[in-house]
Amino acid sequence: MSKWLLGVLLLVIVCGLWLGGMYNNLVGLDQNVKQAWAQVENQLQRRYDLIPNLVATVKGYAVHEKQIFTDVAAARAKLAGATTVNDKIAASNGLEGTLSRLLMIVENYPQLKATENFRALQDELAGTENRLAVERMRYNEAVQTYNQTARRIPTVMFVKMFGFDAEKTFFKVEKGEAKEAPKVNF
Amino acid sequence: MIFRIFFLVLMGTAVLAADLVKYPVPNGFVNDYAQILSVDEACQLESISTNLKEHNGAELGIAIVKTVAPLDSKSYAIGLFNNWQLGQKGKDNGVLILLARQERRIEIEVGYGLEGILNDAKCGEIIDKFALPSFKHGKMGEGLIATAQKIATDISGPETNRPAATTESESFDFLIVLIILLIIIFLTIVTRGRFLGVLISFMLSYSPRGGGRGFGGFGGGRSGGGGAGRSW
Repeated sequence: MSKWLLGVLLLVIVCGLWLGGMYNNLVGLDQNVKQAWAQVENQLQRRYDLIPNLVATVKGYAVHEKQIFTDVAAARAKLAGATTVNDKIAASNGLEGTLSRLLMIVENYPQLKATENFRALQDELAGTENRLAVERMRYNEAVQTYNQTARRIPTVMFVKMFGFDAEKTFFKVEKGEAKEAPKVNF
Repeated sequence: MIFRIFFLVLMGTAVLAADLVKYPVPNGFVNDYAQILSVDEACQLESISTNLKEHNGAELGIAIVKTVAPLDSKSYAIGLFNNWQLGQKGKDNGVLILLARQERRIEIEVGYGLEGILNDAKCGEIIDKFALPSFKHGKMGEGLIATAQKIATDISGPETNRPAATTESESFDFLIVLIILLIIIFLTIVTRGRFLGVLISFMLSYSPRGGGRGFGGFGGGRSGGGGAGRSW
């Protein structure tokens, strides 16, 4: 009788340890994803802050291109209003599209391109895009690691119970836009 | 692996493919894989970097490659930087100057810790003022030295007064050396000298990789895509 009790007790302890390990592992992976996402948001914010400067500089030379300025402002506002990760990804992709259109318009204004102020802005914008690409990649790697663990048996059976996301969203860049994303080259 | 490749294709950006490229192993701060520097120029560059490392701790790496294909130069610079890990771990105070001969392109890649001092606009300006004028006349070494010098003074300027943060890790290293020494002495006594013989023969047969130029690699810093680039 007491042998049975001891066996059951041992089993409970082993199971408890096993579940605890699984939980801790998920906590770590979850934190990694969150940290990587925070870095992505830093860069999104950086781009967001750069846009008014860029627009102001371009406006001085390209007075007649009213439509694009409204579009950029609208896309920027959309990013500011986005709260969930999915909304932010969508808004960011939209903003990227309008920004690339703005930079295409700039091509028609050689005097603007020659100013030191604009060159500095272009460097900052290019740097921000590059940083965003790097942080996006690191975020996606963190998501991949998380998903690989969370979607496997046996973890997949407990993930919801522990209160974690069953799956994290990749930051996908929409095809056409990725290619023509504000690629600033000299 | 298959999933990884699929994932890379799915994301479709060049930066991701950076993982798949084989990067060369560094032999020092200055690595001229395209052989365009004279010995004198390479020495001058090496001493700029060595000085900076000694006085400030920051690591300035210089790489001249024949081509960055199949990547674009920025992606290659990011990949190479994070492969070499320029800068001290935790401080991320590294800078990489990359020259791609075939693409005729220069990139300055800045580690996280130096983004405040060397922001993107400043990097672009440095290239415009110090590198490109010489590059356009084919004087690559001259332009590189001027660029490296400017970067080094920009970095060490505000930081010269701050004591190097290496004291902590140095005392830590010292402790480890002491412990290892004590263990060796202990084992030598216990095995009546046999251990020392084994140790010496092991050390004699062991040859360090990298050709013994005495370069121990970079410190473990990271970069996130900061900096600027230009074509010449």
